[in-house]
Amino acid sequence: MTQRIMTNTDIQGVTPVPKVFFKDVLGMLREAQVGWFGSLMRCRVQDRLGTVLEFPNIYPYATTDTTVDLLEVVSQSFYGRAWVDSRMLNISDTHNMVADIPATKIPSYKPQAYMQAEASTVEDVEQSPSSVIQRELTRYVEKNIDILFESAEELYFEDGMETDFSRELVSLVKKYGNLAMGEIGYLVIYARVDEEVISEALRWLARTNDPSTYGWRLWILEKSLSSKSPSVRDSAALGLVFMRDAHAIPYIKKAIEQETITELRYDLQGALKELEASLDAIPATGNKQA
Amino acid sequence: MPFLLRAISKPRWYSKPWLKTGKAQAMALWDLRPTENRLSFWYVENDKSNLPKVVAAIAAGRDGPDKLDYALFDQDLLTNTGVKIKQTAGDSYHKEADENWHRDVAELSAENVAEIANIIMEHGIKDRIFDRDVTRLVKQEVTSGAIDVYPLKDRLKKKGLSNWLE
Repeated sequence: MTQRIMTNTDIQGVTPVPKVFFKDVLGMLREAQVGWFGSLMRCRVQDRLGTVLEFPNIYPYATTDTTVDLLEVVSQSFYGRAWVDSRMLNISDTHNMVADIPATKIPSYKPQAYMQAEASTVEDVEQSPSSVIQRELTRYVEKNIDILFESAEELYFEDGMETDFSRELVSLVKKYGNLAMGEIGYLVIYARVDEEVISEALRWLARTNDPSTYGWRLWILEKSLSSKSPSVRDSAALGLVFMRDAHAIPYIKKAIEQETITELRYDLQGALKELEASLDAIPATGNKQA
Repeated sequence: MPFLLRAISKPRWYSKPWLKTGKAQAMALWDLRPTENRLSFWYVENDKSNLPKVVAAIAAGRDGPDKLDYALFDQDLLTNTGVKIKQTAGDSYHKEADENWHRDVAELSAENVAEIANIIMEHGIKDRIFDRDVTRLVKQEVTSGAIDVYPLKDRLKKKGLSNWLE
């Protein structure tokens, strides 16, 4: 969706040129100059205190051939009376069409899963009967997901057992695809709900057999390996084992290197060993990208 | 030195920088939720020879394949606290396990439960079996006839779940 909107966007007023700091797909910290877009875009960001701010008419964008992980972007912007360091939540156009995708530019070496995830988003938007319906649908899905996650905080989760939460989560992902994943990604990555709920969600996201959201789900799981919560980090690794995708191996290795809790480092090593063994043993079926 | 086994979730038993060594975090109590002041355990032989069957017994009653985290600790440690350990019938559909290896620790106070948590934390072996191995163990017991698969299949069918037991 972002690429499509960019094509129609009039880039004006490129000075002053702010910088955007981000990690590329290899995890390297990078920075790039960004330009200001015209009045066709807006972004929704969150400052360090967790306050969500709407930034009309501005949108940082990195240079071509660079992957920008939107959820990693730290944007410094003048808002109100002060400069605000903020993290991007999503981008939307004047019709409030939300582009909740992990990357704005997909280079050729980007895994297939990510290309597929973006393609689905474009398709979804093109198929929308109108922007009003799209906006209402987005709000409806977001609200349902928020309620689902909040209500799950009272539940007790047990390995191998389904709950109303897991059934509804899988159902929403299958029904609304990337639209649902945007909100789920937000709740999970920004730890907006209880860590037990996030941990449970991650494991069911891994099990969900829905090729259209494969890229999103893999990305959220890999991202969650660096969560502040040990329980979430463990569940992310377990989910990645279940997805049986070799793409996750370097992420788990990195998580092992960075892990400070001895028991969890041991569990992450176990997950890596199991993932490698399962890749050697049985080809994964079903839960793959389209 | 026979062991007692309890299914847990390992992250609830991770050490915390703010906790004294050997003390369990409060979240560990989620894995020790009593029923009528009673906690259920599985007996595991000295040489752990029945461990695969106990694991299969626990996992067979699940909705689907999943990893199994468990804590294993010396039964004597629990006996020394003064709690009563009784052999009772299990309800796992694994006949041998239900008849021989199910244990109940009854008449527990809140203090007892916290004490058990700290015993597991300090002395317990916390381990994990990944879903591939859990599934293999369950299927092995189903194939051998040790697990009565028919009521389990019915249960899965009633819940609209696919049969992963065979």
